[in-house]
Amino acid sequence: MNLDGAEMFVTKSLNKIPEIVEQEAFSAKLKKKLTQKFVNLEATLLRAKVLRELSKAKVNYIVQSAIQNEQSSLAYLFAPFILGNLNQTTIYHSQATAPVLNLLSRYYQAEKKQHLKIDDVLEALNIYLDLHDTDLDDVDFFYYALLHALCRADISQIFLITHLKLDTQKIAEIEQFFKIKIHYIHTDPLDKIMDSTELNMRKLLFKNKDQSYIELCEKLSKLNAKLLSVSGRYSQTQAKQLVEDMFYAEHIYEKLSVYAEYMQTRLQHGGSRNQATFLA
Amino acid sequence: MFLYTDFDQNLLNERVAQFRDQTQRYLDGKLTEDEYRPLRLQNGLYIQRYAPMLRLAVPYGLMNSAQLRKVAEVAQKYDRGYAHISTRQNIQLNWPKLEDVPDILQELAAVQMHSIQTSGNCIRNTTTDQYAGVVEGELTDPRPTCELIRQWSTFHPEFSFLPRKFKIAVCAHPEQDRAATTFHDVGVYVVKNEAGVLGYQIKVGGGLGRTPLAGHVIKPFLAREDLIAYLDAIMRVYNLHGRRDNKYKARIKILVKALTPAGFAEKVEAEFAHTQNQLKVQPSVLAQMDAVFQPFAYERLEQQDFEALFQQYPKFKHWFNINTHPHKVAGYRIVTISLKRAGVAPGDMTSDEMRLIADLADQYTFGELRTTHEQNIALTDVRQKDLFELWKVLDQANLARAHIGFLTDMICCPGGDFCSLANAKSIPVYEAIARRFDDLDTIYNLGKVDLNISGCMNACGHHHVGNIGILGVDKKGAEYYQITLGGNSDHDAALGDILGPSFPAEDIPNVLEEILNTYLDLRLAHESFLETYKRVSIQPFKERAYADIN
Repeated sequence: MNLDGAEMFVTKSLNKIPEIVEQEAFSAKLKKKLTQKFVNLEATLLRAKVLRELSKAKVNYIVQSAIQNEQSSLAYLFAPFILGNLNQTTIYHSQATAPVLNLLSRYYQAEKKQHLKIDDVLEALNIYLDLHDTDLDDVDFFYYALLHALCRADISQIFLITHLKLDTQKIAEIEQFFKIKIHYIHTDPLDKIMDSTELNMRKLLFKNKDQSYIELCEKLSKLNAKLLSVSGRYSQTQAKQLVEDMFYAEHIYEKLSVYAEYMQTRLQHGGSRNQATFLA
Repeated sequence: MFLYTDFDQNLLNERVAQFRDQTQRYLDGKLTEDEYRPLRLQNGLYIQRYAPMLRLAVPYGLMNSAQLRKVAEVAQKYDRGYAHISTRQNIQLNWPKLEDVPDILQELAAVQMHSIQTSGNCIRNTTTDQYAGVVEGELTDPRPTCELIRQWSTFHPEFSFLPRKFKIAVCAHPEQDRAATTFHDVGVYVVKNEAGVLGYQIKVGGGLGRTPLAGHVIKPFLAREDLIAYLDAIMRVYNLHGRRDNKYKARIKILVKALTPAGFAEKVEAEFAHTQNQLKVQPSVLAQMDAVFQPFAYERLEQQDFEALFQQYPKFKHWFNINTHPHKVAGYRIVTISLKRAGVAPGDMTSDEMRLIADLADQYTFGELRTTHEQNIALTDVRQKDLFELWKVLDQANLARAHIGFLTDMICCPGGDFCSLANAKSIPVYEAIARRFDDLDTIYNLGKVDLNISGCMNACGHHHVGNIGILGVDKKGAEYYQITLGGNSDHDAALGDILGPSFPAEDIPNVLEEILNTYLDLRLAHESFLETYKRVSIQPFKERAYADIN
């Protein structure tokens, strides 16, 4: 990989990647981070491309830009659990911001780092939340997450959920080159919901909801419905109703709580099965 | 079947007396609701939507005619004249008065029946194949194993206050898992090792409910004499590590998932190293168990030729082909009595019907009968030469609907009509489906299809593992129904896939018809619903089911 400002990759098609975010390429900081992370990023990307064609796995990869407080894009944190209910294996990659941790920490110590093999977690649960503390800015983080997705041979579709303006033409070219479906869901940072610290998860995830939670549930369902409708599985109306069912039938709660239980157990014991036990 | 000793009977009588005292103190206001709750639950007494519900234990689904007759009497005297068979082969009374329950239990104790360990966080009734011991092809009779587990687990002091309820199922048929062992806390499967020795494969961590999970094999082969030591080791690991602070996460399946099956197995093996020698079952005990289930004195009979009767009575032919099953002894047949009738809640039988079935068990079998996982009754030892007479009586009593294993032989929970946990009613949905698919030719054309209905995600109707599953969802105070396809509790076990958004109750028969028509249009020769579904996947079913809505 070239760090001096010339084209990054020898393979021309790969140079479309840093052009996806309109007028924002990789920063020097990101390039440095990538060289630290990948011995040879280009080779990794190309290898994944070839293996993907042979792979039978169909994993979803959700890349979501940082969720800030009160932003309605917090809705998409439920997306891996919604897809999990439809038997779709999903990796969710975002930043460990306060609203995300506020929500997840009610179920497990989400703020704590642990060294788990993603594939082990996927095999056990079909869901993995890859949450990062990062010094990268929004654009760099977005690229960093996207590259992680493209480096996996088992990914069949990528959801890009972001307030950043993306070049859909470039996305189409990347899709074609990698033979992978990429869905762009644009979020509005000014679209608000209640503060995550005030969320009553019981009202949100169980059947008994007052009017404010009925409305919140409708909003979260409508947003998440985009994931199901853009991937062609359901119409927008059907998808919204389906997601709403999951908020009432405790399906999302079940996936979330089982995920949390697993992570908490592994967290407490450093991934060591021999000493694993539950909190009393 | 196992008959109680004087010691057992005294224990039972004392238990009834104890519960009578507890109930009286509660009724007198000397025990609070909170104090009384664990005491009633230890005696199978739930408080449901309108009345208490009393669950009676039927160990591994095996009863004698005297017991069924007594249930009929009790149901008539103290309840509303009927009883209900649960999916775990127990019997439930839905309308007893609280103050009558001690009397009910006293009457039942006279025929060695009780409600012990039918609720609460203990080891529940062990279930098995309803045709255990008589069906062709079985490796061995699993009932001695069930009885061994029953004796070990009853009043086991260490396992009376587990993190959550615990269910064990046993099966010994290599081709068909009628006990759904993959979806139990522990599944005990009789297998043969390479040397031809019988033992057990142990599965752990399965279950339905709000978190449906398939169990994992953690011991491919366990010697017969080590079963109790190994189960003890599993229970100890669960008792020690299972969560007690959150009842939704307290089942062993959550622990197995979190520790990983391999991690859980390691802990069990470590415990087993301590328990193996201490708890090895002595050969004399195993012999005692086997002796209890010695085959009946079957007559030497010829296989019957029914061709002439089939010609004359086509209904009998259907009933024979569908509701009876090959017996391992020549000249005998296993008969399943359908308790799925339009207008009657599935699994319900009136006192008169119970008396009739008890009489038939005496007249045509060795006085035994079985309750089934599918909420029916089986008479397992009927002479083939008696089948026609038996059919005539059953037909007259509306108990001979020939649809066992077919669409309208649905599993269905009591739902919102009775259960205080339910999100939606399930019996009216069952009823609507039964009426829509009333024509038996239509049913036969569809072949075998498991349709299971649950009124909430506690999944008492096992909707997750129905080839077609229906789940009640309460949305904004209205009842909707979500459909799943492709579930299976047999070998090759699978949880169903969600078809899409839920439907209002009135749409369910139409949607079901669309799903079944899709199957009929797409199936290849001799392909079952499940086989077609696996081949074509969910998409064509989805398109048809939502065609009118799009």
